[in-house]
Amino acid sequence: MKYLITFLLVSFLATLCRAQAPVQGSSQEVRMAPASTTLDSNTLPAMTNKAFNTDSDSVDFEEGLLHWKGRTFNLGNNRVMRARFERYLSSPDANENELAYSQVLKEIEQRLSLINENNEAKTSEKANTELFEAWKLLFKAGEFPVDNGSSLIIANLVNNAWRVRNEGKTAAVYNDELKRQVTNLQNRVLQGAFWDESKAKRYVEDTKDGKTPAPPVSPNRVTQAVYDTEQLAEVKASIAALNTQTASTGIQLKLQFQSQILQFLLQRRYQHTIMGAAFYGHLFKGSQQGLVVGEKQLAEFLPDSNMKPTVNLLEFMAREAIRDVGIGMDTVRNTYANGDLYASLERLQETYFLGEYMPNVVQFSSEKKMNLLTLFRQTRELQKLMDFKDYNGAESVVQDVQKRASDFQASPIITIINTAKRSSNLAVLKAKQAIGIGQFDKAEQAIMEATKLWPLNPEIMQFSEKLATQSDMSNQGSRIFDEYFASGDYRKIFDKRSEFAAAVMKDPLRSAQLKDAVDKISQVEFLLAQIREALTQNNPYFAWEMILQAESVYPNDLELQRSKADVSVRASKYAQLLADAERAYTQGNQPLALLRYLDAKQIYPASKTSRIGLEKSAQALLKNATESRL
Amino acid sequence: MTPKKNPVIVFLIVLIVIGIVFVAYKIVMQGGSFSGLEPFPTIAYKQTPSNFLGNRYGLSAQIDSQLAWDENIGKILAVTPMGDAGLALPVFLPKNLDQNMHVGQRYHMQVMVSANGLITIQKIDKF
Repeated sequence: MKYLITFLLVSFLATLCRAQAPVQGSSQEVRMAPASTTLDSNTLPAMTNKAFNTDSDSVDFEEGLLHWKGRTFNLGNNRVMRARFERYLSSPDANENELAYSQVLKEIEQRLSLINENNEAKTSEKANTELFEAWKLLFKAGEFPVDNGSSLIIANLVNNAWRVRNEGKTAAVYNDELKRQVTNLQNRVLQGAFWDESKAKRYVEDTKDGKTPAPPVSPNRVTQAVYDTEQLAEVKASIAALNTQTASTGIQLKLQFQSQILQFLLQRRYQHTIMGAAFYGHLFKGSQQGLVVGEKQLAEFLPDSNMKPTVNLLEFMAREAIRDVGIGMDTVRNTYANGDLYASLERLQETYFLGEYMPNVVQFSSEKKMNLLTLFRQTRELQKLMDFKDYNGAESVVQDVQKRASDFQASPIITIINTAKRSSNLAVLKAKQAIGIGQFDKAEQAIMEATKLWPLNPEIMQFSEKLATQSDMSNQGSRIFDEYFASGDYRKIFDKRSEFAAAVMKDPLRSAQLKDAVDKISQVEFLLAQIREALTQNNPYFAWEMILQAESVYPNDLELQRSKADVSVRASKYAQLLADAERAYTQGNQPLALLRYLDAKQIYPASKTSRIGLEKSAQALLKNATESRL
Repeated sequence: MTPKKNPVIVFLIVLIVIGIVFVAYKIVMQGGSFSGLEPFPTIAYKQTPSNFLGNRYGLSAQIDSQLAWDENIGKILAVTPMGDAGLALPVFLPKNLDQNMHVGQRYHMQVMVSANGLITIQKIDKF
């Protein structure tokens, strides 16, 4: 099950780093706020790689593969894999049929064994008898649904081998007859030739005196010789064809047998692999053990092996797998007994996919399987919740899983959940702040970031609802905003800045106007705070300075005017002098402006306004003098 | 009989004469060359500068600060009249009278209230 979590973590990492992202990862990400959170670091991929030890036996749900000791079983579609495992976990206890089937297979294996129950080698006769008995039992095994006809396939192959062997014996007899015919025909041809030669010699002797007439030439004699010769050629051709047919049939059968044994191994029907190999060993000579089929399948199955594949190698691998399945099931039972249900589920999953058809897997207690099924479903649910970033739901399921399986490592998941939640909340806060100061593009970006990190964040929902409510007021809000802005009532705009922000969010012109208004009132607010502090410290002159500064930002603010009225009472003379000075300056009476600024400075020597007024008035005076001279 | 001159009385008379001469000297020196001018009416000027346009006055003052300077025109200074602490005045020192001036230095000045009430220095002596 650690691979489920691994997958879960990898998926999560990929999502965030696509944020990071990378995460992964990815990595990361994801980017979260803060940008370099745990999700964006290399910690998570490292954890993931550590958890997913590719050197160990493992189930790869994504690719539908079972990795076992460097060999790879293709188990098909991942959904089908999960469904098969879930079906196995929910299956009832093994019934009588399944137990009987296991017994039949065990009996076949015993009969095929070269040693008896006393560990003594069987005699050749005994071995042949038991071979035949084992073959008969294959039909019995084939009757069980769980066998899926595999035993019958072996039985048919064996039957074919025997039939071919019998056909070979018949062919040998026929071959001998043909050879005898060849010999006869050859003799007849030779005798005919000898007779013709003797006749010819006698004729030469008889006709030396010139009296004896020449014997008539027999047309039948010539026809017989030609016929024998033709027949001899035909028989020889028949012998060659018979030999070729026999050899071809034997090779074909061997290929069929080897292919089937390999298929059994790839299907993880190890008992049938062993039975098939045993029958093969009995039926074919030792020199025929080398595999001549399935090179491609073997190369995929044993990617790193340079071994010369043989039938015996397939049998060895099947036995090794059976042994591993046995150890795996022992581990499952032990971990379950110790209360380590999560480890038990992990081991059972690996063992199930390695030895799905093995009796000790099939016969595992249904009560325990049901308990593990619940855990399996919970972890699947947890995986889905994490995929969908439903962290509240995931937290709840994590607690349930921990209650059921005390060995479940929840802390990495909790860490991820907490980090994502915290980052998302920070992003929402950032969005709120951005809205508050009229930076709507940043607010939108922050909300997108928060949503990416934790889509179901209730803070986002609240924020959205608030914005939605404000959005309902959008049209009306825009109109009211226009009225306030036209009348220069920035204070009211400032007070309802959040509502107006929602209302004018998609209007660049109004957004800029809103930002300008909010900026100005924010500055005035800052200065008003300083004015209040100056009055508290009984420094009305500094307060008046701040009043003047605030007026330069936005003079029409009512709050500012209230403060001005208050401060002007407490710094009336100073304020009057500065006002006179400014008026004189504006009217071009620089000497009087200088005089008044000097008087104001006498009252408040630290006056910034006076200092600046003196400088500008004096400069203006000299400038005017220069111009009048010119 | 010739009255007998009392040497003590003679000494006292001489001493009084010397004192009178010293006081007269001090009075003359303190007024400088502008001692004939009317002292600048600082308080009245501050209230309504335009009432004193075209008038000339003597002004003894201390330099407070230099407000502006133009090499072709002169300087604008802030000064405090002697005896009128806390009543700073802006004065214009034309280029032809310009000299090294430092904050805290004291000067006797002949000034005129020119256009817009600008106090323009016409003569200046350091003391």
